[in-house]
Amino acid sequence: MKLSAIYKFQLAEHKKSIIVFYLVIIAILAVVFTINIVSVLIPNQSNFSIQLSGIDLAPTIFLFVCGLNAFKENFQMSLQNGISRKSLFVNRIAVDLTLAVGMSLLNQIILFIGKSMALFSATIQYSSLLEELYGLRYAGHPNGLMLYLEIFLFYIFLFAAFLSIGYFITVAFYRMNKKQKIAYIVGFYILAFVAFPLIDELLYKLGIFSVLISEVLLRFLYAIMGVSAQNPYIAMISLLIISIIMRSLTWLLVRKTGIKN
Amino acid sequence: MNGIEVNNITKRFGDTLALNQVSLKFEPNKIYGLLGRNGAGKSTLLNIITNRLFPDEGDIKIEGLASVENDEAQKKVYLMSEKNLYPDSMSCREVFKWSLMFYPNFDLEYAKELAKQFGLDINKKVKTLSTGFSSIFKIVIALSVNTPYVLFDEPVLGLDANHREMFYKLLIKKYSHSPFTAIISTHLIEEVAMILENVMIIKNGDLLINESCETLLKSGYSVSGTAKQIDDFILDKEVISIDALGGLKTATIIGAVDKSTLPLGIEMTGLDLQKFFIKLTNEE
Repeated sequence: MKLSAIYKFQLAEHKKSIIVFYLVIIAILAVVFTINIVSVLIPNQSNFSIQLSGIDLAPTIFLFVCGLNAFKENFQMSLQNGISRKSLFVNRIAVDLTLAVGMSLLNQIILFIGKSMALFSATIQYSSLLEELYGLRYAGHPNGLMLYLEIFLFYIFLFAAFLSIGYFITVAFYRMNKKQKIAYIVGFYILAFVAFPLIDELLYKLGIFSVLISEVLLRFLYAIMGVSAQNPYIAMISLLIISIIMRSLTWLLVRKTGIKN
Repeated sequence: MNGIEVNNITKRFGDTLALNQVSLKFEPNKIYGLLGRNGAGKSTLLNIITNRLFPDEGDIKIEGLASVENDEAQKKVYLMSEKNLYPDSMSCREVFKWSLMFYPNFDLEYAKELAKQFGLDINKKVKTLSTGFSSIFKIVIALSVNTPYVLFDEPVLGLDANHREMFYKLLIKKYSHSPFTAIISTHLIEEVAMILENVMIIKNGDLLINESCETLLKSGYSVSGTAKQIDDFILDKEVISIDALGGLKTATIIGAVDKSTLPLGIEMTGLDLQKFFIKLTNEE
């Protein structure tokens, strides 16, 4: 009884924001559709074209932010209502999987609407992220069943991974005191945007490394995302591994977390 | 095994020893007073019982079940804490609704009735409640939750005299109607003394007293009379406090007394629990 209550409570928290998010997406599509109709009606607009690509990636950022906001209130509500950290954690995974599957399904619908619009209008070009990343795999089959199936699966793993990353960050921040938080934010910024590019450039220019570290990292990213092999299933496995690592680290932090005054 | 058993609980916060090898038992269907000065360790103990904090040593059993990370044990306990743990953006009505989801025995109608009696607008968001109404909001849930053990941490914080009296009356009414274990952590002893069955006093993390209220009240008495009479009477006695007003004096004494030996003109009353508490918990 209580387990389902904390599942429902956590899920309910996202309801409003999901509705607002998809209303915005629908509004964007409606604007594109309207502009397209208007452009057809107005003469001398023959070169007019609208390209929509990667709109299906937007939920990833949205869910990452959801993950970032999913700990403190739920944790406090759990403890207030006699729910253990373990139950909260297990139910969080269940909620995130529900969100990942649900949003992936909604993504399919949005993709279908977008592609239908493109089908009926020569001025609209609509493509998914998967078609951008694995172009060779889907060349000549822009509306194939396999494409839709793989997009559906790919986004479940991608959404789950980003939710787990967001959740890990927020749990880690909850455990930190004010000084640690500042040190982490400043340290991350300096490392990522100042020290790393500087060292990367320096090592390359001094001839210590024959290739830029950033380039190696990019190649690694391409490899684990299956872009090099043009295989989205490699990406799914990589994203699953990332999710498992993030969840494991999160559990290490959550299991001994106490209430803060 | 019934009740809540606290066995050798120790908790440190850095260099501060909040609880030191505390062992006690809360029996079913009794009203306990958990007394102590600010920072004595009362809230820490309640937070450990309800799995909000982990002890460094020791263990707690709720009706024989380990309390740590145990949903089964925790569903028997509700803590009305000083700190609000409900989402700020929720309305009181929504919190009541969710309380029913978490605690199937939560009496929603009774909660609404209590809110009305206290003058709490349940459509208000939790974050907009004043300190007093925030306490009232939490009191309403605590009195409606219907768990076998309800823990109140400073329940009357910010409440005016009328609301405080209303709370004590409602608690007694509820207890008389369907008995449960109420643990009231407070330092407002005078007010709460009337409703307590057992008293536990914590000082600097140590359990000083764990007695029935009756036994404790029998352990001393107060006498009042003229200054000369009282000064003579208390010569060979353990006095814990003296109050003087004009030519009159009142002394609180620890120990037994034979009423027939009282000098004429001296009036005897029961032990003032608050004075006893102050004496016990003074830092000197």
